[in-house]
Amino acid sequence: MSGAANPVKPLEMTGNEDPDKLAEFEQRIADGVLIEPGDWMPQAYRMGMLGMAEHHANSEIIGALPEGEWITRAPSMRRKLALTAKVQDEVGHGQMLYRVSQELGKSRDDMLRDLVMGKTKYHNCFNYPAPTWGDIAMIQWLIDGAAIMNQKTLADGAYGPYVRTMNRINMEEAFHFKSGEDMVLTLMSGTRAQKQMTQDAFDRWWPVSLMFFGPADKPDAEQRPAMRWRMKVERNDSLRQRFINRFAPAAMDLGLVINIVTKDEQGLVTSTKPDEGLVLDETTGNWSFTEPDWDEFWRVIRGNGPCNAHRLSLRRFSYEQGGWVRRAIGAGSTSMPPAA
Amino acid sequence: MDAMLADPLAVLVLAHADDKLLLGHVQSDWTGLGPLLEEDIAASAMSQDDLSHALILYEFLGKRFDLDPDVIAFERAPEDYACCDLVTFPDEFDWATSLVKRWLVAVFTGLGLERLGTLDDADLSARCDRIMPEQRLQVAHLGNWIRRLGSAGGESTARMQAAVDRVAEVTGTLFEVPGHRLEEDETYCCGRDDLFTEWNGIVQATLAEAGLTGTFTLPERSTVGGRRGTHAGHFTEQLTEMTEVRRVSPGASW
Amino acid sequence: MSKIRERQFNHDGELPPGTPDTQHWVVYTRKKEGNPFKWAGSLNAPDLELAIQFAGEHYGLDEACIAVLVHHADDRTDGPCGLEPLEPGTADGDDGSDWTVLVLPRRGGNLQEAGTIKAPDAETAIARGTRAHANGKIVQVCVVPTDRTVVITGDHDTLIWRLHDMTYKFARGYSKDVRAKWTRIRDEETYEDYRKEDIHSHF
Repeated sequence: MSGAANPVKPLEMTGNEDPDKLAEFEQRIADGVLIEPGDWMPQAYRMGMLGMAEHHANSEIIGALPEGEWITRAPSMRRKLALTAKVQDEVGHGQMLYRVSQELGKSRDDMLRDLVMGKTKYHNCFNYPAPTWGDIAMIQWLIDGAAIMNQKTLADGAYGPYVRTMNRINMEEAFHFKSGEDMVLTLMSGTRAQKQMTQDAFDRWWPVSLMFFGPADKPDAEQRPAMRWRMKVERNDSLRQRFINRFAPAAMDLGLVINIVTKDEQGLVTSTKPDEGLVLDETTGNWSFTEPDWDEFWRVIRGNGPCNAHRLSLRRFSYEQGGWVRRAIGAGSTSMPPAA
Repeated sequence: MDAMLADPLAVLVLAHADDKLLLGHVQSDWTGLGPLLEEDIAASAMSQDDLSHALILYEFLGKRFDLDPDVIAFERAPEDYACCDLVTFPDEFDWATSLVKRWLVAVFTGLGLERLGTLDDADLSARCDRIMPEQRLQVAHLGNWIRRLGSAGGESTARMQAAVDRVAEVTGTLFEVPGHRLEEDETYCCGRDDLFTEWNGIVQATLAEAGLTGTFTLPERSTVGGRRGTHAGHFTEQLTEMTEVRRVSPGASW
Repeated sequence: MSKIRERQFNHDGELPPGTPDTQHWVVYTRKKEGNPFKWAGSLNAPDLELAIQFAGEHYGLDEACIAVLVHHADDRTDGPCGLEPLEPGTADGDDGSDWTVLVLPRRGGNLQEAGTIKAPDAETAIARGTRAHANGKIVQVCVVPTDRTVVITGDHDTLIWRLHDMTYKFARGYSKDVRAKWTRIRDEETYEDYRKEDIHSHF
């Protein structure tokens, strides 16, 4: 799952880079040449990539929590296996992405500590609750669907190690998305209770999906380092439009109603009304839509969402609880030489 | 369902399948919360193996008694599950307890399935053959961790010893005779005394290498516990949780 | 959800002391007989034994896999990564010990095993490896002393890929059902339009 579409700290040039090297670096990127670790790169780029991969890794590790809550309740052997494998994939993605940042100079332990102490962020969408099995279907269909769209563009970025990792991750996201699609299709072809559960979950996750890609970029985003250096290659609004064009008609065909909702502090829906702003423009092929509640977005990202405290608290419990195992194997009493 | 529960071989298979299901059920809950990312991933792979093995055995029973494997897994009455109290023993997210428990069960299941595979049933033997290499992998992986963390000294050894002590009392439940609807006979005891002796030999050797100690006893043949449907309270909680979603719309497709 | 996951913990104060990262290992997998090892990822482990164990249980289970190669990250020496495909150069000779040669087909691509050469040191190994493998299609040559690599083959005793049905963890395990369910709701053409957005090559 992706974390990179959330606002990452704006990159600022440090101002004391060698102008010739910088020009050459930027020309390479403009020419579509990928950057490999041995290449010269501006310090701001190095730090920016480190932070981006770290944020993405954090999102995978925290993203494992809401779905993890449902492994013990999955309703069939196959769903139980699939959900366990899916959450396991997120952990695997986190491990691989931390590795990218480790190579850029920050230890994994420091990253895990900064995460649980709230010094670094993760993707906002994991601060919302998953109160039913329907939420699991929606997370895998909508959020993983959005993540694939976003990560396909990230795989078109410029930093070799991140691109490589993204390609591997996308392969596994394809399973997450298909399995989510299968769950949504099954539930919407099922009993009245199953359909209601699905609509309720859709009401919770549709606005979160629209916010998934982050707020609109600045008008001059293409001139700013993040896009100039191809750390990100598509504007948030453009990704959001593609997402809606694909998922709005699919949701309607499934019999789901696309609502504008209000939520309480627990992230549960308190009122719904159909989004009348949702109209297909036949000439452009684009669906118009009502903007999600961006005030809510900022409130949640600043730490005041329904589940922020709970997610970090469980993650910290896990970090502290497992400390003795890491200390035992790190102490060297069990180690062998680095190679046979 | 009744025919299956009154069949001695089926009940013996169920005992292993239910052990695998509940062990996988409890352990898969750790996914994303393990002590280090790499072992979190490995342990989750092994709980998927456990769940898959349960499914392979439920499919065998499903074929034989014309039942949906998911119905066997999710829709029996609590007293018709034949898992023992060790597999459902709550680990309270203590990694040492989880590890020791899984290892003790894995060694037992390996020996049990080996014996099950020799019974005169080609389908069952083929299924056991498919499970066994994965079972050996699990025994090796877990045994390795027992040795490492047991012999690491200090805090680690203390935690591992405490975990062995914690589960020691319920470990014998592995060897209870299954099936509350059956008359007791040697068929489904499956050489209980030999099995215990062989299991204890393997377990004690590894514990010794790990610098740990544990004493386990074979329960009386007449013991009525989890395998005969009289489960500890935590089993009922785990089963209720496992079937929560399915009970929203009984009979629906999920 | 389980009780622990429900619990709201009261964490006070500082975290306990941290633990330094353990050793860095690189993992490559072979998908089928005759294929080269290809880069799969990296991991942290305190020693080779655990590195092998972790490599198999993670990267060995991502895709069908018959063998896993693991080496310590410090044991690999990377040659310069070119902007254009490498020229073979003129290095020759066959003295020294065995080096496993890994080549990068393009920037952003995945390292893959190209073969073994003899050389007295890493620098010579890279030069000789380049001579042997630069065919106008690679941008970088990396080398690892062959005796510092470990290959695990999936067989009866060291299982990697599982024997049970693993389709539950792959998109292809759902594609047919999904199509059948969609085409009860949508016509084929609308479904195809929607499916276009998927990552085709991976389904």
